[in-house]
Amino acid sequence: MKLRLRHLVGTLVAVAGVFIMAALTRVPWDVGETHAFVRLSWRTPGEFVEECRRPSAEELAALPVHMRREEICEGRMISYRLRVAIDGRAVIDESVRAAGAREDRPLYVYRDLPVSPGDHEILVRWDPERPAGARRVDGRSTPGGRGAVDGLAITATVRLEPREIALVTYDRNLRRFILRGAGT
Amino acid sequence: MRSMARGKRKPLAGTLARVEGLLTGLYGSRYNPVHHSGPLVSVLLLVLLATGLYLLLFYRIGTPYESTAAITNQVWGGRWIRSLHRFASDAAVVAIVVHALKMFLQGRSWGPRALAWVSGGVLLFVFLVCGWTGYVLVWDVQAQVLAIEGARVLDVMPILSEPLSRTFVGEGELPRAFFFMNLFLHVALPMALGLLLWLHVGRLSRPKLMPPRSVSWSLVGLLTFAAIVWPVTIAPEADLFRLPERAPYDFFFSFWIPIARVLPPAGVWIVVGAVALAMLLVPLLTRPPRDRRPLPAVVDERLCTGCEQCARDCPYEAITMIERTDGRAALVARVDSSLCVSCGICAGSCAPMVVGPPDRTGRDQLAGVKRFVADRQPGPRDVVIIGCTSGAGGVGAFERFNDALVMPIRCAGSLHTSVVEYLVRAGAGGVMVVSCPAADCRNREGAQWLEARLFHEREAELQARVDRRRVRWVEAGAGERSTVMRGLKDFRQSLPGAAYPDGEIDLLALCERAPDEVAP
Repeated sequence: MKLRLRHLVGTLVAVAGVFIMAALTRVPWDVGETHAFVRLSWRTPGEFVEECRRPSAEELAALPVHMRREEICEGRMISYRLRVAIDGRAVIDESVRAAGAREDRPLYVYRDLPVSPGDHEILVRWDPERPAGARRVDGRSTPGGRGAVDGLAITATVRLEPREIALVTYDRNLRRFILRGAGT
Repeated sequence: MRSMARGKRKPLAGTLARVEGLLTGLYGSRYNPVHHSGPLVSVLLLVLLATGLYLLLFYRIGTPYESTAAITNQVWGGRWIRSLHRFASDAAVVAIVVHALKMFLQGRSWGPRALAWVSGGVLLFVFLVCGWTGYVLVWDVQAQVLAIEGARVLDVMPILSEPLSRTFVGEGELPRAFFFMNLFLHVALPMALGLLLWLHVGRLSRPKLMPPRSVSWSLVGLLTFAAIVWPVTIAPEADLFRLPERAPYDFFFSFWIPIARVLPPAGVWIVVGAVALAMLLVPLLTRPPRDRRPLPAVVDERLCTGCEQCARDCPYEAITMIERTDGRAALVARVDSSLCVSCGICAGSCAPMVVGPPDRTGRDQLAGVKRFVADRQPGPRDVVIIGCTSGAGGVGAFERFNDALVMPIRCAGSLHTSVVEYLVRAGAGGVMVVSCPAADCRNREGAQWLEARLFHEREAELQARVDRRRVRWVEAGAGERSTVMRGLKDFRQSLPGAAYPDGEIDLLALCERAPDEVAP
């Protein structure tokens, strides 16, 4: 009898253990998010510029003959300025550099901006920070699109429910910002 | 820091022993699932393989959610097989964690066992990653949360040319390549698990990869029962333009989500790095101080008869037989100290008593029992308990237990049978050897070999002249003192009245003589 009772208890414990485990695989989890989001996400090719100067006579004299040039040019990928305003209030104003250790990759933007549910006016600007006197080199834009973008902007009004996401992204065929997702 | 790690382990080890004791009470030591926590993982991996192959027939990377929904709702048995697949993966996580915890608390994670510890940790990590890919394949709201959080954490790695998170922003359809890659990883990672498992048991002789058949089938039956009675459902489809309000949460594979949501990605990596570092440091932190570290076994090559029994019995492949260089024909045992965990099982297996850890060879044990008899003078009414200090209900720590004299031994598997004979011939009423359960010996096969030497004439056997009625073997884990008490009571009741007469015992006669000793 004692052995039977032990077997019964053992079976019940094993069944209970398996069902507790099965319950733990599907704990209902409240994600706990009440905001809506304006999401900025795009990839644009960067702009390659060259800044050139004339070397002095001393500099030229110091160089081997075959390296003497009239102009010494240094090229680089320029950064872009990202400005975002929501309901007239600036929420982002920062410089975005090209990706990669040598900054020779495209420029990526990925931000989630929480907003309260409801109507919102969004303004997004994306402008090259070209140094004065720099010369654009068209043949050397980074991969990721058909040449560098000169500057992009979008103004839109969205209506968002809690947890909904409005996406501002770059359409490389239209070569402009577009708005996708909820509330558009 | 080391002493802190050891100090905190003790009470936890006591708790584990009590839990194991309770489970042994319910299922018996042979079927105690905690004793088989490691081999159970193999069974669960086989279940995952079988159910995974079935699911693979119906899964489509072009329509991940729809095909999973079809598996759940339309395919014959799909819902149950999918549930079984999930429950088996969760049970595997539980089994791995219990196994690791047990090894840690029992101090079986340093020295030659460090490789098993580290490979086990990597195995758990790979298994969790494999589970992550499996959940993402479903592409429901749970997958969405896991994918987004996982990508956010991965994006800080400097190896990715483009942020992975942008895959899930909704710029376009999710590429098939994403699901293909997930499916590929979900299938390929188990192969890595196989490799890690091979590494994990690589230093063991006769690795025990499967638990007793009844334990395996009971587990599979229980999981199948749960899968039929309470199958998993499919959550709403992921929507990249809407975060879910609620999502099902698998505690075993998504435990990191709450941490990832409050920490920046770099913080998550710091936590992951800290956990990985702690896991790597466990072998160092749990290693006893140099002066208390047990020394590896040594062989007295002069007296070794080359019988090979120690090499056969060593559970860690630490002993090999090599050619002698002194002109004698037989082989000689050689211990690889980098593999030896100092269990002492070789001491129990060596009839001429020439191998074993220093101070624990058969000869040392005989010298010890001689002192014990001189000090404690066991009489015909006395029972001597030879108690394993790792288990045996903790009785190895006492001088007397329920009026029985206690002689502690580090591992009952290392006990030389001549010690038992000596005690019986010295006049003790009976000798009760209490080892850890055979299914849970800390040195893997100690209890098994002990029983074979005492009662089944395995080499270095208890001599036929010893009255077996006066010898008893009891298995008891650290938390099973009541088992020892019951065993002692039974033994006392069964003991015959007359004992061997007292008298001088020829110590040397108790051991098989090595050739050099026999020679004039």
